[in-house]
Amino acid sequence: MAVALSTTNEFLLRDGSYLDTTAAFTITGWANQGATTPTGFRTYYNYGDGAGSDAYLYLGSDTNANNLRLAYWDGVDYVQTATAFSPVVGTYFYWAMRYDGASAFDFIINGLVLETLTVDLSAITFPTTDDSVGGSWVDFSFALIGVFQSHLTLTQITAQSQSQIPLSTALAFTPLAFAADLDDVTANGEDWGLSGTLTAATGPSLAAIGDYPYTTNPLFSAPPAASGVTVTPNAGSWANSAWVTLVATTDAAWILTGLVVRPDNTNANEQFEIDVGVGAAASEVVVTTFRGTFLTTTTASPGILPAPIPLDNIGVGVRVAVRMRKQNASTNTWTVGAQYYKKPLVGNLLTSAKPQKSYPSSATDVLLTAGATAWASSTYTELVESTATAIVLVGMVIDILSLNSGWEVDLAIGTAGNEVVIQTVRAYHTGIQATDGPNFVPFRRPCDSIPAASRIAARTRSQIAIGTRQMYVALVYLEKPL
Amino acid sequence: MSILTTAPLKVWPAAADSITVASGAGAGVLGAWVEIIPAGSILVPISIAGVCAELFVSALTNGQTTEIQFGLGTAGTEVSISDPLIVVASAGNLIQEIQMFLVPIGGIPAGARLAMRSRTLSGNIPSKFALMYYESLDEDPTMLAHTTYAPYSNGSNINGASVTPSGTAWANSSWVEFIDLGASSALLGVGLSYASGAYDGIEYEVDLGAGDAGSEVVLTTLRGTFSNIGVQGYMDLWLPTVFPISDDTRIAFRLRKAGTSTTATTAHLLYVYAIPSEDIVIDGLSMLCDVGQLTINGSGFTDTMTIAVQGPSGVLAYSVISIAPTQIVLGIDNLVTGVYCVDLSA
Repeated sequence: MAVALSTTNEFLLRDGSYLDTTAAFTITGWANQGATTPTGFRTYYNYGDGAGSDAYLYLGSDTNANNLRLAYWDGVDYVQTATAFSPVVGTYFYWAMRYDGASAFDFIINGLVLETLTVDLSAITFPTTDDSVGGSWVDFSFALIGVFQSHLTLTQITAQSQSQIPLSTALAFTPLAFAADLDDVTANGEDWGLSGTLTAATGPSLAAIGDYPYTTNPLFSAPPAASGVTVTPNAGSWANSAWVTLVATTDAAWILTGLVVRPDNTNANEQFEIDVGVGAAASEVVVTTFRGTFLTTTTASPGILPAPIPLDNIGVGVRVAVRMRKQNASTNTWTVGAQYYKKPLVGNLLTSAKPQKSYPSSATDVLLTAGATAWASSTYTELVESTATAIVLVGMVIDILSLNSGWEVDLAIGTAGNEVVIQTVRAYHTGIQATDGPNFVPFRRPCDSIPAASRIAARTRSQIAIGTRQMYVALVYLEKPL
Repeated sequence: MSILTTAPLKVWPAAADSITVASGAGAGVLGAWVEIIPAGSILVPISIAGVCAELFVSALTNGQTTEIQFGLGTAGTEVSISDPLIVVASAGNLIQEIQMFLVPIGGIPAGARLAMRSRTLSGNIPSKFALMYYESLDEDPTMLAHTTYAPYSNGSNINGASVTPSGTAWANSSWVEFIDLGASSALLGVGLSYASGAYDGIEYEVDLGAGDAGSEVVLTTLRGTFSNIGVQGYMDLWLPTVFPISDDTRIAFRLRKAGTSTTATTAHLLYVYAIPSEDIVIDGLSMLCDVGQLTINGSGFTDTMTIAVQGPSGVLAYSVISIAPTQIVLGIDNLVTGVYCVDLSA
């Protein structure tokens, strides 16, 4: 539910004299840029003189450009933000123009202040007080434009972005949901007038599913439309490989959501860790670590290594690299790809700047003992003597060697003899075939039950009590506070 | 809400062999409901976090998916709560034995009897399953209680929608339609089958897009890899979190990959949708309409009460999921928008 203007020079227009520009205000809306570079300006919103002679406030593109800035013209000087937002064609963004009633005029995109212009709007006279959308270039769709005589907080703006009605007292609120929908839904009657033809367009995706964590950002792949970067392992057990560039320069800050790994397809029992680092060559800094196990060579798993709490610690304009280390000595090459969102993030996805870590780290998974009889619990094996901080457990690496059999593993905290089970994971070993991902079981609801100085132990149960029965485990976690 | 939880992850059946659930007698036919959790066994509400599958692989064609469905109610009156089905795994070299759902399946009341049934392209496949679940998970009350998983099934072809890759490495296939999603839906990801060795050792990307045919716009992109020779099977690629869809939207996908094979493969869309619910209070009683469930809150209820349910199409059959002094939960198939009336008499 959104609309678009049909041809060049069409526009929406209304008398905007209802707005007091000497006091605080916020103007918001959704927009989705078209693919064609304008000839002229792509005006998402304009207050004042749309013809550009008298003073105006402007949210739109540079001349003949696909960018987006906030600007004002006071009749003498034209001042614009140095920051230009680059809309992604086909992806809705939520914009806001916010003034604090004194001197701060904010350029806000997707809930983040990109730049603040310092200006006292009470010192500017607006001989013309029109609101307008469109004009010289119209290939964009838009919806849910609201005008508020108040300085909405960023939280309020984000909440408003997900609502089809005004959540704060509004001077005007126009859903612009379909072709003939020009009406203001407030009692103020600030309807739009139309010059041209308004057509219906696909609208933004709103969080109509409650407050479950979500995002409408597109997920990106690195390297895009290409196989992963090749990493040659170090021959030394758990020794690091060289760093390999994944992306030379990020074009936006990243939210890293996971890796996609293809092993060498040659060696069995490949327990491994992959570091993600940022920085120039030879100056890389590790920002997070993934861990997994490829059990067999005749069959393999799809190599998906999600980060259940995605990493928010990769900035714009930085080099991203990966390196690996593993248990055995093979130097056959692997490939590594990544998935990420570009910031700013629309939604309420939980992220953290904290790196993923693992127990054990740079060492072989911990071998657990097996129960004496079918489904009898083993004794506990200590995994961690004492956690340095409170931790959030985001997943577990499980590596089973046995005949076909079902297994359970209990994770517990507490002193020896006083363990309390906090997680039980079920697994099955076919003896010949691999399991989900590189044997990494993600906890979609990460476990937040492990305080600082906790002893962590594990025990197993299995369906059979014959032959060689072994389960190896490792834990993947983030330290608190997130 | 936060996705962090202090609720322990548990297993059913605990310390016991997995439970056999046979698929139906024909291709894509659902089998009989099989009791997983007996009534009265779990005393608090639970949410299913994932499954562990032991597929009867010798009877399945490589790449063939197995789909499961959960239901509540007494034997013979089960009502589905995950409609239509959840793809859990496939035969072949690539078996996703542990499947942790992106969003746990909630809305399972205390004391309820939980059942499961399955279907495959081959009939009568007796695979085994165990569940992982949370007790009293701090769920989103507006989403999880009204949500069902609904992987797209391409008509009678339960292996999904077929796509033919481009013969040029990393060039896009044509867009293939999945489904028109209604408002209040959310994308969860995409699942891809590899029934052939034609994709050995290659990497790939899947775009999910929205829009009319010929005007699709990429919503998001998922990446995967077929990591070894002879890999055949099925893999779910989950998004990091849900991607809400607010309007009626046609969803399509396209595939690009390394290599030049043009051997077709199939894909499933993974998504959830919310069913609006109203909580109407009359004379101290409230009635909540949920996915396959009607919940009546009040007081003085007993398990000897006579219950009759009238719906938009007349008297409705139902199953009693649970009766407590302050709450009755009924299971009713195919709930539709309309007025419902429940007669309760001692």
